[in-house]
Amino acid sequence: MEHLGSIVDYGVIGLLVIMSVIALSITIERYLTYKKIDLEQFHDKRELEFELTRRLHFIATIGSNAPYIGLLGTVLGIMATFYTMGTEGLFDTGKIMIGLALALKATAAGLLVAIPAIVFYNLLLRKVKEIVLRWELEHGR
Amino acid sequence: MDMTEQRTGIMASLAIHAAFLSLLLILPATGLTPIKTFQISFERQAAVPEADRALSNPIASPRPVQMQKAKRQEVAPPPKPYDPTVQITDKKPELPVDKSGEWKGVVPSGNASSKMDGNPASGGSSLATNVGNVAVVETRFGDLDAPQFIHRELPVYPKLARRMGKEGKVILKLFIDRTGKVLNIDVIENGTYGFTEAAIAAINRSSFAPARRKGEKVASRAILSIRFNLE
Repeated sequence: MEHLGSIVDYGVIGLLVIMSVIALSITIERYLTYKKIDLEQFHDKRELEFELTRRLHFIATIGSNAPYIGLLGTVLGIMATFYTMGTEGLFDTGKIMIGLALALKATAAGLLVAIPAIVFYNLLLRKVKEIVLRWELEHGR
Repeated sequence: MDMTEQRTGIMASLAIHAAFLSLLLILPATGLTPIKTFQISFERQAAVPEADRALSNPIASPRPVQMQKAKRQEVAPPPKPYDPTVQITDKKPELPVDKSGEWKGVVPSGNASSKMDGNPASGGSSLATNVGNVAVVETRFGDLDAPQFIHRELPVYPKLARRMGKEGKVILKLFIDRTGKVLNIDVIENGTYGFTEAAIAAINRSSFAPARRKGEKVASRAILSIRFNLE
């Protein structure tokens, strides 16, 4: 059951870090794209929307799933703690509490990834809407 | 067409994460109270169960072996009477040790009482139990004919305990055969916070000279107590 601890430590936290990197890089890339987008290039609204909403779903997926992955890490950590308690029969409250407390860090990391991802997603959605509205104004529709 | 944005996005994201993670790693190291210096001492006398205490066989004037933690020099087996006490400390090497052999500031006063009721008048004879043909000597580290360390690996002070300021004591009973091999380790007094594990790991990396009885090597069960202290 020792490996369960390392799965939580490296697997779950590492996965969350990777998700966070992806979400942030897409956010920055989208933001830069929106800044320099040329509305004259697009003659069809659907074409514009297609270009604007590319890759946005990644951020939404990460934002909604990161807490679950963190929760999974916590559950695994608690499992490992109880398992060691069961096998070693340790009645050392301090050790148990530390095991449980450390298990919770996975949930914290998940939330830490999810909250900014959702915020960025909503900001980008608003940006998309603004650009589409501006296009509509310019093309008088 | 948006390759440059993609690249800047990935780079910026990686840079931000690296900065954030390094901040996370640095903060707890600086935020915590400075970690105390510590010492680990192998005790000659310890509060052991009564049955074992009857066998106690104190030697004269234990002199602590002082040691700088940074150097981690190994203790060569000193000449008899063997002195089992080791202190590791970050402080300057001359800790208060008076000539009478008591070591100050290392062993809490509670231990002094157990030192008193060690059997003072036994002349170096350990009790031996005969199991069939094989004599197994019951003894304790520090006695005249007890097993000795050839190479003493110092236990690692458990990180968590050190950070939480926990101290502890572990009493082990080592079953050492006549070649000096440790066959079995019984935990008599369990230490919390990983003290027992640290002690056993150190024992497993140490090597021993077997106990002697009338000059002959014998198998023995020897009590070893290890104290983990913070200063």
